[in-house]
Amino acid sequence: MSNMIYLQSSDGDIFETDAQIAKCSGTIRFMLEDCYMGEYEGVLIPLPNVNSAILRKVLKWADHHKDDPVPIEDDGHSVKQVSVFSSWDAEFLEVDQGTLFGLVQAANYLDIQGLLDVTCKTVANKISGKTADDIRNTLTTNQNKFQDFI
Amino acid sequence: MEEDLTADLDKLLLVDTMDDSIDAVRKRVMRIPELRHNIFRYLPLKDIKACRLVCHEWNATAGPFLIATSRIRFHFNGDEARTPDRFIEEFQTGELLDKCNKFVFDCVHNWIEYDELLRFIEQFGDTIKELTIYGGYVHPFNKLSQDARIKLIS
Repeated sequence: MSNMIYLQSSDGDIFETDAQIAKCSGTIRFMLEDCYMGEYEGVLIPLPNVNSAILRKVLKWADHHKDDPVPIEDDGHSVKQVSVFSSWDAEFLEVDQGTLFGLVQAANYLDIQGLLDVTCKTVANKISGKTADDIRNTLTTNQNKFQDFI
Repeated sequence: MEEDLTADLDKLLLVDTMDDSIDAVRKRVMRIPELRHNIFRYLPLKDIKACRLVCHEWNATAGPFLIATSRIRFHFNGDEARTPDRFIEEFQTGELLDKCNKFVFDCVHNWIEYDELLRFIEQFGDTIKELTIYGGYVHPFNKLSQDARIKLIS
């Protein structure tokens, strides 16, 4: 049995998707189970923090990973074991930086741990090997404050 | 003429906001401590060090990772001996153990130190994540060989 639901992106596009796929998102899962008490056939969920280009990517990822086992929680500060992710994921994340960071943001907002892990690892790869100056120039807003002093 | 100018300006602004939005989303993501935390988990020590130098906020996120890869080393040799009793008080409050739970016992070569090691393990064993012991009988004039190294991970 499949329950179709609708997701609305920030720019107004509506995506039809299987509830089981959308439920990989903790945010959507709690909304369906708590707000609609399990009867959610055909409901429309607005996602004001995700635009349609990113939402399309997220749903593609979710569809590909719908049969994955539920991930095990680990503790906060341990350095993550370098896991090899699938070649599908690697190919999926060959995108421009705007999309990559958009996916990180969406995975965080939608609470999709698996997607958050792979996207954060990809960002880490981009940071790796850079000096503090390089990072400061590309990834923080602090340099403006600094220039004010000169 | 004026209309052209307005159109040009609109175009310019549009390009600007598009450029900005990539840059903005990148910076917005990196401003969120939880997301920095998630990203730093994948970085090796060398890069964690670079991240600590970026700014105060990054330092606050990267610092705990540096501590997490550190080990507290006790050694029992001569005047520079560093034995657990000096640290036990701090361990008891739990704060230090929360941050760093990997230990090295160096040169455990007589029974007194062995007892001390056992007492330490008895008291804090539950929270110790990694324990490396350099052990065996060591003659004062001989250096400790690598063969004497035992590594236990719990």
